[in-house]
Amino acid sequence: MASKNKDEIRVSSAIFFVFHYGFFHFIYAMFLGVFLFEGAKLPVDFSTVLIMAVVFFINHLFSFIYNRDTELAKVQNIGKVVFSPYLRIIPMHLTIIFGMSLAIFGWLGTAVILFILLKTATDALMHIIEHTN
Amino acid sequence: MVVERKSVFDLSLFTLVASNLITLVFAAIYGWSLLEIMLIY
Repeated sequence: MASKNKDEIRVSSAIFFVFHYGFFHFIYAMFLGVFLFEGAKLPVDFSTVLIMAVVFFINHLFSFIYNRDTELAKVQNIGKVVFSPYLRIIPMHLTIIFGMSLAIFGWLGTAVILFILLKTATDALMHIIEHTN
Repeated sequence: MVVERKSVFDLSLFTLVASNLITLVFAAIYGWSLLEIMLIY
């Protein structure tokens, strides 16, 4: 009975996460798509995107291999697993809000630095939350 | 299975921060745009 309840919580949490978190990213995709394909049609160098993808992939692969045994031995908290990814939304939101202001003053370079620093802080915080007990 | 508990301030945190700082340095040198960085985020 208790196991059935646990399974129900796991499944309903996963469904909630897919739709709720997915909706945030769907809106971001729309937002970025407008800048990319419609309206502004800003130029994007996809080799840049690929370089960043490779750098982050190497990091996450290393982290996965490095932490795998510890994570497998740990009893995960469903609340922490479901809600910690929401921290990643903060840099995106803050950059959209303040980055626009910076862009108006012609300080788009500052917005890039702001975004990466926010992303670094969020990644580090998520890492600490994820790997604490 | 007995697994030695590691500090959260470990090598994987170092590589995480390093990968972000590499992006920051590349962005500064090559003038990567905010849109390009947001696309991979």
